[in-house]
Amino acid sequence: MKKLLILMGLYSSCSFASMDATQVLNESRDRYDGVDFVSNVTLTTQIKDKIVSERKMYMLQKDIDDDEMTIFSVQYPVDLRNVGFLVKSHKESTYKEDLQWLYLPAFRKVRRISPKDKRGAFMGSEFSYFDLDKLRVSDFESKILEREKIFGRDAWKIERKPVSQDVINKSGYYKVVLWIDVERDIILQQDYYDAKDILFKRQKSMAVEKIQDIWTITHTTMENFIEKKISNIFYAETQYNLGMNENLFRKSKLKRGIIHSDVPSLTPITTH
Amino acid sequence: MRPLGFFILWLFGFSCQASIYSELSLSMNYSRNTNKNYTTGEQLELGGEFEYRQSNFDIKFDGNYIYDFVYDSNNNFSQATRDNYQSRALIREAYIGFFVLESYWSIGIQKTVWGEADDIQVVDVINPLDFRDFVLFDIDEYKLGIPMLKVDYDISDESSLSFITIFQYQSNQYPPAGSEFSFENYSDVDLEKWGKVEFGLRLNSYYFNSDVSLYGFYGYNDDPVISMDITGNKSLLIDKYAFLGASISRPIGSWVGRGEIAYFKDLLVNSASPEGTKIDRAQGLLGLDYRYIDWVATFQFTDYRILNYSSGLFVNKSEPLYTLSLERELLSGNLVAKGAFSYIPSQGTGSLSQLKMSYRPVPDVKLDLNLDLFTGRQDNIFGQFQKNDRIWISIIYFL
Repeated sequence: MKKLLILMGLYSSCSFASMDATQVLNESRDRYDGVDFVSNVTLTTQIKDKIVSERKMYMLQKDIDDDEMTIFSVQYPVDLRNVGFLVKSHKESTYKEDLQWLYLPAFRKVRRISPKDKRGAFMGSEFSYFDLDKLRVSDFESKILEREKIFGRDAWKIERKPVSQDVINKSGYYKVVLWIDVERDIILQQDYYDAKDILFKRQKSMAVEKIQDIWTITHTTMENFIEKKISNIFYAETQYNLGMNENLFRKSKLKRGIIHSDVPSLTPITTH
Repeated sequence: MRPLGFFILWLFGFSCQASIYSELSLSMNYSRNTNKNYTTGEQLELGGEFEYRQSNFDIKFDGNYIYDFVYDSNNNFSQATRDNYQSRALIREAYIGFFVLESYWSIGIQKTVWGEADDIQVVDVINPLDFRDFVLFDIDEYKLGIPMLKVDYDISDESSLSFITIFQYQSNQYPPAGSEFSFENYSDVDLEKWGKVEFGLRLNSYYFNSDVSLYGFYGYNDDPVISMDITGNKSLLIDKYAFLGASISRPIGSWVGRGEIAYFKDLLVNSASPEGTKIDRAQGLLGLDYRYIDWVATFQFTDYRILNYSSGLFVNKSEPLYTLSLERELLSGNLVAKGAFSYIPSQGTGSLSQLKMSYRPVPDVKLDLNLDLFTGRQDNIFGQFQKNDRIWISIIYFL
């Protein structure tokens, strides 16, 4: 009887923790990030202190109906200029996979990409396509481990495990531990574990600023402990609620490329 | 004068910000026939690209000039080859574009890609090809820009209509006899005819998680019929044909399936008749892409059937083609490695194996290595070049 009570107590505490973790993650996913935003994005990869790769691109995002449309348009280096990546993310409650299109100027063709494997490197960096996705709460079983301080901020420490082999195949992760800022609902750090439960990647939010009353990550890093490389994403000049035209998020626009007059409030990215 | 002034002000949208982009590149290309062990190219290439873009107006120019030093010192090629290829200026694209009536209009020399296939033309019937270097890794490298008016209209967020009018007919270009990649019985073909107008229409949309396009084209055969009179004078014949096609692309689990079908009506082809013979042809393509972390593998199969085949035709009743390719990025995206294998089982079988590696040591420099290996029988399209295996190295400096 005593054992049964302990088991019941354990079950109820687990389910309570699970519910809390889901709530925290939902709040982080659904936190207000404007109706649209633009940013000048710089993506670098370094080995020790040497930068081995650098990409510069315009990033645009807009909520259209119930979907979130995101477009990356590469401007630098010269031979990748006008490479474009368009993602249409549905609300998680629809259980629909994202739609992804890639435009490669060398082929002059918009190619459809399967959303089932997002383990590939984003523009050659240590960030995978999955890492840049909007948080999907139901892909992982989550529980709060504790409430602790990280980077001087009060945070929920949450452990997440994929609910299916499909999620592992899509993400490449067998376990994720993340820290969410209690006050700001922002992810401060994520630790990624492989099949042998070895920590192999770590994402950190290095700089967070309040822009137009929205807490915004302006610098994030991904460290790969196996490859011994670090990638940085700098989001510069982020601006919200510009009332961007929906036409910018069409496949046909992906072919013509995003140009500076589409995002006049940003500093132009030069190719050299 | 005043309306013209307003028109110019409207075009340049003086209140808008313009994006100006210019790029000069200098390339040194070296190629060698590895079977017969001689140099096939020693090129110096100056490339130039210019773009002026605003939200409602743009100008684009993309061209290059190539001087090939191999013809100064090498006697492996014919005089006609030297005349054609020693010094060449090429406009890849030069057009102006503007938005009017909620449509994007572009007029000038342009390239257009139709369909979902990689480097195989089934529904991609708009631009002709230059076979000077036979089949290069990326089809855009040997696609010819032609003068056209293109009107693109977005019907909705997910559907668009494109209407094309081509003003000047340009055939596929085949090198003269005595070139490295001259075709037996089909050399020195390059026909331009101003005023031979061609029309194309494409409807692109999205249904049931699939990208779907429908195509129509009314124009002239890209491979002219070679006709000889009794004195041996050669003339190149073209005639109109009609084309209808469709393509689809759809993710299926971790795969992406691609398909194309095409129907050609009254296509003029070479035959025992000096005027050629008109045929009806059906063609299809099935493609599958598989993405595994950073690897992308692609398989394609295409074939055609001549529906009214007769024994006097100088073309095959069908010609299946299989392609398999593998690609991945390495070294933080600075090295792109691609391999491809193409196989034609008809006419004695033949294959082409290709390797392409592009390495960017610093942002302004790119090194390319291409390797092409041919096998097969002499009457196969690949096999005819079994003694023309090629290694090709390029250094490109973006100034």
